[in-house]
Amino acid sequence: MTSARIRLGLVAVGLLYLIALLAPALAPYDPAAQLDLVGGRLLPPSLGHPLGTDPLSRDLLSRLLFGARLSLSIAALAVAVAVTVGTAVGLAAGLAGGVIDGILMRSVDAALAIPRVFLLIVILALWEQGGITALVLVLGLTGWFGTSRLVRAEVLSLRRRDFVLAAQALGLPSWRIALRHVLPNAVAPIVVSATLGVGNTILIEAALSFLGIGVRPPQPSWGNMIADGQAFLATAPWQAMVPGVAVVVTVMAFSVLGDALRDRIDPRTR
Amino acid sequence: MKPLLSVRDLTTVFSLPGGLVARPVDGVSLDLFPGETLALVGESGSGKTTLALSLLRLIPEPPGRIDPASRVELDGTDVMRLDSTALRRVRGGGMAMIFQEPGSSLNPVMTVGSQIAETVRVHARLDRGAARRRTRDLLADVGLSDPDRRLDQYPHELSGGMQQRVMIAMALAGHPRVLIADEPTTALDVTIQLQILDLLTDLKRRLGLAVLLITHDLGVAARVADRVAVMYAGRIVESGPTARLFQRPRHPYTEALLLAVPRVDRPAERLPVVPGQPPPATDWPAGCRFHPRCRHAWERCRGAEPDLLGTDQEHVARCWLMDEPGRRAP
Repeated sequence: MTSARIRLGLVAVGLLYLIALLAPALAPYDPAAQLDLVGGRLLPPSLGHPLGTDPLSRDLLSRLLFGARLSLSIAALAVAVAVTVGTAVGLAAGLAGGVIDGILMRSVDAALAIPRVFLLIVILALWEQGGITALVLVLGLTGWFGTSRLVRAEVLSLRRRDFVLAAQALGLPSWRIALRHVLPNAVAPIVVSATLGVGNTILIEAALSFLGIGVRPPQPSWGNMIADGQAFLATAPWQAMVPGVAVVVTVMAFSVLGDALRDRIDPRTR
Repeated sequence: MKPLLSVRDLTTVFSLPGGLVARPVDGVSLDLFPGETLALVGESGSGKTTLALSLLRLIPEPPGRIDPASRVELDGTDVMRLDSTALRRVRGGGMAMIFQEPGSSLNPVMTVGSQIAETVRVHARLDRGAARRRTRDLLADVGLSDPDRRLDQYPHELSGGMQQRVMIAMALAGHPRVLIADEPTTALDVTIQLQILDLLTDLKRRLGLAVLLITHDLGVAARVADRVAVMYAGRIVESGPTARLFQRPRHPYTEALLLAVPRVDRPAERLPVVPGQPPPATDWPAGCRFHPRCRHAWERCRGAEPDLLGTDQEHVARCWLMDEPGRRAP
């Protein structure tokens, strides 16, 4: 049961990244090209435009495919930043203990008390020129708190394990014990949290782009495509629904994979 | 002959919540000579494992603390006064340690070969290829069949006995002179226990190791030890050459322990037990620490604790009976 869900999640996520990777080859048009501003706006799906065109006469399928490219890479990179920082902080706190642990974890508690979306909106509104890099960094640097707590908890239990004591007894340096013995044994929960984190980040990125402070036009992102389409919900509902469905499917794929991986690792939650 | 490892007045203290202070190891002195096996025997809670961990300064501090007056000299160097770099060299390089549960003492996500090779390279400047060859030789030394295949296996692919052999190979990787084995066979099947004990004896002879074997099993001690030290309530209460100690135990505690061992040549009715419970490390009894459980105890035992006494330097017991044999109860 669990392995079937893992396979399903892996296939779905893999397919999504494949589509994103192959977007330039799969997309019939340049996603930013305004093909016919006079007669080609809001066209319904047809052979020439499988998903129709948007209010600026751009090909919707091409924008969806390039949007996937952007959304998936932003989420993956942001999570990479978050996991790296979170793992480093959690490892340091768990191994150092005492005052260092106290300072790090109380800071994380304080940071977790600030609503993340609010923080993101403020920073991104102020950092207008930052572009995609800013988005990745800000998403990453506000997303590691949970991971750091998770890693710390894992390290606290691992460092009392016999093989860590054995490594100490045989004279291995502490950095080596941390990186080669403690960290690799904490990888499983980190992978789970990263997988769930990617789905969550895609959702937040879509929300920010919808508000106009994430991925900015003319670059296509699912969030700003929904924003473009919302004015036409009555007359051309697919404009907002197509990117909306893409977000839902993608987030679900990551959730299924993440949940299945977690069940596999921790049989108690089954 | 000079001892290789000389321990004097080793005391380890733990500060517990609620202001309690435990002294699981309280003023222990012992000598370990090259090429000999010293068995440290005692009940659970007598301080054997804390003693072993203290020798390598592996006690978590806090809550633990080794009394600064303690001395642990390995070949003349006081381990208690080494800086962290020198201490790391002693761990695995001078004294190595193996543990009770071989399964959990090996890192589950590293292959046997890379784990041992890692320890090899921490203690000697070798390139990867040389370290791997040495690892292979170590695996052959500890009697693992098919060492080339073992290199790339993970610990869970091996049986308990094989895992303990791997652990021993890892402990030998840094060319230690003292091997501390903390209940190395307790988690293993009886037939495998004998193989591991024979391996330890064999390695001791071949490499001239000094082995400190910690066990609660008197049969194990009898089989492999040259000398035995009996630990009770954080103290050594009797020590002597194995044969003499087992034939003529001097301390009532040793006597009671020996009587509690089931034997094939005696009808198995009810085994005699040592009355009472071992005292908690937070509250050692005043006077002789065994007196509340001792059938010979009199006023002197309640009032003062004896030193290790004996006319024969090699076989001593911490008991006033050594001084007043007439007090022995029938």
